[in-house]
Amino acid sequence: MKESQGQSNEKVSHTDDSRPWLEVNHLMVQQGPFRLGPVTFSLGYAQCGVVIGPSGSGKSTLLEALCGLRPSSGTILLGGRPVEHLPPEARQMALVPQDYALFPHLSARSNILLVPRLRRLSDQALQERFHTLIRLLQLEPLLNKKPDQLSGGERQRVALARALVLSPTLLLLDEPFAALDPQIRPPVRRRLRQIFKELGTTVLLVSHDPMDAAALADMVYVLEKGQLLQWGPWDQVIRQPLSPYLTDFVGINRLTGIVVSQGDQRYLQVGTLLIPVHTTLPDGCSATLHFYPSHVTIHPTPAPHTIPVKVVERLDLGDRFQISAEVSDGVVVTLEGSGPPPVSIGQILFITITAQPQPDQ
Amino acid sequence: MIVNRLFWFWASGSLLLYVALLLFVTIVCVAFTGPVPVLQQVRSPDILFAVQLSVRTATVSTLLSLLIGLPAAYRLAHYQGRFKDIVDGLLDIPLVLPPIAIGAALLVFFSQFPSREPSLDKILGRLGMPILFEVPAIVIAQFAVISGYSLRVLKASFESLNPRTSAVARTLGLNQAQTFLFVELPQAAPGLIAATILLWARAMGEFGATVVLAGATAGKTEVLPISIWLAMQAVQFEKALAAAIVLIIVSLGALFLFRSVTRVRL
Repeated sequence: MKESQGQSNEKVSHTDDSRPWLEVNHLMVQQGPFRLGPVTFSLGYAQCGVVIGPSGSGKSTLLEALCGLRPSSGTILLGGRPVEHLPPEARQMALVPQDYALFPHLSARSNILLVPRLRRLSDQALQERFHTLIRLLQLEPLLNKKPDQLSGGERQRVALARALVLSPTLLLLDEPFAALDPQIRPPVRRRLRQIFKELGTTVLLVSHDPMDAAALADMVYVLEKGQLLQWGPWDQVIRQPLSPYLTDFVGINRLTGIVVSQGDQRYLQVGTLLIPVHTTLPDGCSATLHFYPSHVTIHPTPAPHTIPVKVVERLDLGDRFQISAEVSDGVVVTLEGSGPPPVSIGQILFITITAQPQPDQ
Repeated sequence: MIVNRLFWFWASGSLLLYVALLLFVTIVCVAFTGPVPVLQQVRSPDILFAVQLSVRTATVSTLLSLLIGLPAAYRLAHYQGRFKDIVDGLLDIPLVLPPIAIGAALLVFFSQFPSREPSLDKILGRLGMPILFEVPAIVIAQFAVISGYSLRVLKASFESLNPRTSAVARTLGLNQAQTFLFVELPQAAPGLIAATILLWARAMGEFGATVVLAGATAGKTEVLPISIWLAMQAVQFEKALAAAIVLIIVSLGALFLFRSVTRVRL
């Protein structure tokens, strides 16, 4: 088994750059009433993939199925090699759980070196890698401490070193930032990105916070209720977000209604309100307006094609402001502008929206 | 305020009462026999024989019980099947059954199975390993009584481990057996030590099953509890109490030694 786990083979086998490093086909997990998948996706070599989705969407289940801790159907190819039938120890993926799960009875140094020692991997390359990780993760002062003497961030660094020292074919991180204080998340994200790039590690990480994807993701996978709703390069997905989870994150407003005509003018009817639009969609078609707050113009007085809205929240953010305004019953849009907010709560504003309605599927 | 004080008073009072009771009984014992007969007893060949037989059999039965109890408890802690409750219930039998009944059941098993002639005991006897009323019977009796405890304590300590440490070890490349030996067992060490202490102490004091299965032959199957019983039968209360005091001293001394050794190792 040791031979087949030799990492040199893996690196050699990665010659075809056009082929993804991780290829998952129709992966499915049944766990009581909850079903994950079938999901199909891929991830390139030395890239960072981020799985995002609300809690209960099956993110952790996906990681556990990938590393073999949970029975699943479907195929998993890693570097062109099928691994779905292998036990976890032969897949060469390394998992870092949300609570880091350091071995509590061992010092930080032994936590990192336990597995290499048991697998008798004590060659030059391992030593070099150990010292590289000590330097990159600044572990020198922590090596002789037990896990209960370490802070959350320090535990995470030890857990990362423990996983990375074996040069895993795929590093799996479950909510790596959830246990950290919000203030230290951005610097930790920056450091992780730098380390992954420096070591050329392929990473799949799971998070409920799209900000982690914005900071780290080459590829993003949006999971909702066990289904893969959308995936692809982050810069594409974030411009065409399909899931409310992501549209809310980027602040995209959504107004759904029916296309109607009055004379030559076409409208999207949302509740009792008529929003003037330019569209070739037929009357009666259900359609949605997606627009960023910057696509809304605020008018102080009624003008042709303006819509009246009622201010329900105003956030004064110093050099800019954000306003939530009710379009009709319960339908709220977000508006932005610079300077102090020019309105008070309850006031009626008049807006025009520059956007094309998209037909609903 | 007053509630807190009352609560602490109640807790401290209970502890004090318990300690006082134990001390009182011990002091009465020593006062009744006097230190001289105890010292005489300690030097008597009967008691020396009983001490070494007790220590030897209790150690062997504890080791046996750990050897089987560890993997069994590990499996049980991970078992989530539909027979979980039934298996759990079956394993409580040694706990709820009086030791004397366990002894009786084992006696029937060895003397009537597979038939009365020849019984298992006779078959083993012909092979040069007689069981009933011999030293192996003591070990079997102790083992049967303490194995129920060993499963309970060990299962609890395996269940208290973070299952994700084992999951991580697997993904890092350790197989199931390596994960058990190098990740789970060391974490369960405190529970293992507690179990060893409990089992050994319980085996040292085991009487009911032993007397039925091994008999009470002086100088042959005479462990310390049997010594006490034999002395009581002969209406030698001084001797009985002296043997009891020896039992306490030997047991506490050995447990103290074990605790200090394992603490250093940890």
